[in-house]
Amino acid sequence: MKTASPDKSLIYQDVFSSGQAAEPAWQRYGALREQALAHLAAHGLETRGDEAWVHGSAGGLAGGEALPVSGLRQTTATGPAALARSHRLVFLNGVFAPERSNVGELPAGAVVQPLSTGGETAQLGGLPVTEATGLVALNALFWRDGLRLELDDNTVLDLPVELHFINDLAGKPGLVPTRNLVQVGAGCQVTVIERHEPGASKLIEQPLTEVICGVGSRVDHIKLVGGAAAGEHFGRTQVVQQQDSRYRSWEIVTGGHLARREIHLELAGPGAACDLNALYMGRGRQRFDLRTRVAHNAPGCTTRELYKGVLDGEARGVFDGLIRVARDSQQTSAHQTNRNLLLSDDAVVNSIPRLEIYADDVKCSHGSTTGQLADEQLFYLRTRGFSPAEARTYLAWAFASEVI
Amino acid sequence: MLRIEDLYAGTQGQDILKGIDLEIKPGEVHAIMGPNGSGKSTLSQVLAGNEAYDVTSGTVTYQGRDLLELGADERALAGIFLAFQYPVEIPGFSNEKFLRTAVNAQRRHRGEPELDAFDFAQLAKDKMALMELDPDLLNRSLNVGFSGGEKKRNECFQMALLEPSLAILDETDSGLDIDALRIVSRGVNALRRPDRSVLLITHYQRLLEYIVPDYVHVLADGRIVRSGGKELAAELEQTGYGWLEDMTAGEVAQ
Ligand SMILES: Nc1ncnc2c1ncn2[C@@H]1O[C@H](COP(=O)(O)OP(=O)(O)OP(=O)(O)O)[C@@H](O)[C@H]1O
Ligand SMILES: [Mg+2]
Repeated sequence: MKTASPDKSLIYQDVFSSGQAAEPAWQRYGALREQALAHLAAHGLETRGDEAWVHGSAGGLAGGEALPVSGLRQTTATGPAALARSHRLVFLNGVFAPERSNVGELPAGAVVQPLSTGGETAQLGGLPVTEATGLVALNALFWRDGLRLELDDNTVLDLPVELHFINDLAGKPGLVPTRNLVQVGAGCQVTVIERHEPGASKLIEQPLTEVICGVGSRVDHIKLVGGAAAGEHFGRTQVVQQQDSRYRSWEIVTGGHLARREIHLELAGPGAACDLNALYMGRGRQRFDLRTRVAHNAPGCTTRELYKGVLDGEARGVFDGLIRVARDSQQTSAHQTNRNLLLSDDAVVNSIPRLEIYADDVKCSHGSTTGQLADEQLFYLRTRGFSPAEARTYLAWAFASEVI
Repeated sequence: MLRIEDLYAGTQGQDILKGIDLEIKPGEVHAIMGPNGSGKSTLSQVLAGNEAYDVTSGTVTYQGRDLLELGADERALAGIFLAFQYPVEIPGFSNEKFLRTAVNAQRRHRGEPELDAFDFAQLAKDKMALMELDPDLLNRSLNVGFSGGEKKRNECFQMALLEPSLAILDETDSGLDIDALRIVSRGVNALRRPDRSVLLITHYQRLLEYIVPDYVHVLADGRIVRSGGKELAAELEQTGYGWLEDMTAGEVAQ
C-alpha cells in the first residue's frame, strides 16, 4: 500500500465483498473481479501524488463517497436524441434498458448485445493495463453491463452501433461503471458511437471500452461527453491494433463538471494506423483532462493525433499525450498536435505533448499552442456586422472545425 | 455623409493622425494619396472602428450621428464598409458562411427576412460573376490561401453584396493586374449612386482613371496637406512627394 492518507479503496473492497452474493451482475466474470479485488488490496487507488493525477484531478473519486449504484431505477431522463438509423443500445444507470434499445437486424457473423446476456467472453479484460490501474480495477469490480460487439472476419456493419449511457440517481451520489468490448476480426468495418451524459453532480460515471482491431480492419469510434449536467466522467478506451488495421477516434467533450478521457492504444502489428482526434469545449468551472498513450510496438505504423481545446470562463483543461516508439519500430510516422484557444483570462490549459523514441528510422513531430482570439480577426468580423459575441462564437467554431 | 473635424488618433500614446479635416458629401468620390506611413490606413481603421487606435480629440459625424460612439459592427450596420489593405485570414470559417452571416446581419438590422443558403447562392452567383471570381472560393476558408489579387477581389465582392452607403477602399488596387483593376473599378462604379459615397486610398493615378474622383487629398504625417480635383493625382504622378520635405522645411523655418 503506497498511500499515506486513509485508503478509499478499502471502502470499495468492502462494498464488493459484502454485496457480491446479492448482485448477479457481480457474480459474472468472477476471475476478472477477483483479480481487481486483489489489485486494490495490494495497491489501493491512485492518489493525488501518483503519476495518474499529476496534472489531472481525481474529482469525487478522491473522496470515496460515490458508491456503486445497484440496478436500474426509474428515470424520466431522456438522454440525447437517437440517430435515425443505428443499432442502438441504451443503458440506464449502467444497466441495459431493452425498452429503449433497438438493435435491429444484423448481418451474419455479428454479435451486438449487452454484456449481461449470453456466455462470458474470454477476451474481456484481456488487454494489458498501464497507468491508473486502480481506476481500472474499480471499473472491473463494479461494472454491471455494457456493449458486447463481436464481428467475425470480413463482417461489415453498415449502420453505426450507438450506445446511450443515461444516468439519473435523483441527486444522490453514486458511481456508475460500465464496460464495453469491441472485438472485430480481420477485414471488418464498424463505427461505434458512445454518448455519455454524466448526470447530476456527485454522480460519477466510469465507462471503460476495450477495442481489438483485427488484421486490416477499420474501426471508427466516436465518444461524446455532453449534456448540461454537473456530474463527473472518467472514461477510458484501450485499443490493440493488429497488422494494417485502422482505428480512428473522435472524442468530443463538452459536458460534465469534470471529465477525464484516456486512450491507451497499442500498435501491435506492422502497418497499423491510428488517427486520434478530440475537441474539448469548456466554460464556467468545467475541468477536462485528455490523456493519450500510444505505443508503437511494430514497424511501419502511423499515428496522427489532433487534440483541440476551447476554454472560456474559469474552465481548465489538460492535454497529456505520450507516443512511445519501441526500438524495433522502424518507419514509424507519428505526429501529435495539441492546440488550445482560451476565450477568457481565467481559463487555463496545461499541455504536455511527449514523444519517446527508441527507434532511429522515424518521422515524428509534436507541437502545442495555446492562444487567444486574434484581435484582427475579431475586428474584421465586426466590420462586416458581426456583434462581438457572434464574432467570438464564429471564431471559436472556426478553430474547432478542424476536428469535426 | 461624413464630416471629420480636427481628428487626432494614434496608438500607445503616439498620435498618427494629427488634425484631419475632411468632408464627404453624398454621391462624392474622394481619393486619398500620400507617402508610405503617412497614416492613410490608420484613418481608414479609425473610421471603421478599430479599437486598437485611440481617438484623442476631434469629431467624426456620419449621416448626422456621432460615429465615434458606435462600435465597429454598429458602423457596419449603419452602412460603412472598409475594404482592408490586408484582408484577414480565418482558417475553418468558410467564405460562404462568412458572407451569408454578414449579409444576414444587415438584413436583420433592416428588418428584412434572412436569406437561406439557397437564396444566398443565387445572390452570390451574380455578384461573383461581376467580380469574375472563381465560385470555388466560396467553399474555401475565408482568405486562406487566396492569392493577393483574389483577396482584394473578395473584398470588393463583399462590398457588392453589402451595398454600403460609405465604402472605404484601402489600397484595393495594389497588387492587382490590369484586368483585375478594371474588374474592381467596375464593381465600385456599379455601386455609385447619388446617396452613396466612396473614399479611395491609393498610390496610383491609374485607378483614378477608372474611378474618377471628385476630390483628391494628400495625406502627409497625419494631416491633409493638399486638396484638389482629379488633376492633382496626375500632378503627383509627375512630381512624387519630394515637395513635401520642402514644405515641412518651410514650416520649420517659419
Ligand atoms: N497598430 C499600430 N501600432 C504601432 N504603430 C502603428 C500602428 N498602426 C500604424 N502605425 C504606424 O503609424 C504610421 C502610419 O501607418 P499607416 O499604416 O496608417 O500608414 P499608411 O499611410 O497606410 O502607409 P502605406 O502607404 O504603407 O500603407 C506608421 O508609421 C505605422 O508604423
Ligand atoms: Mg496603408
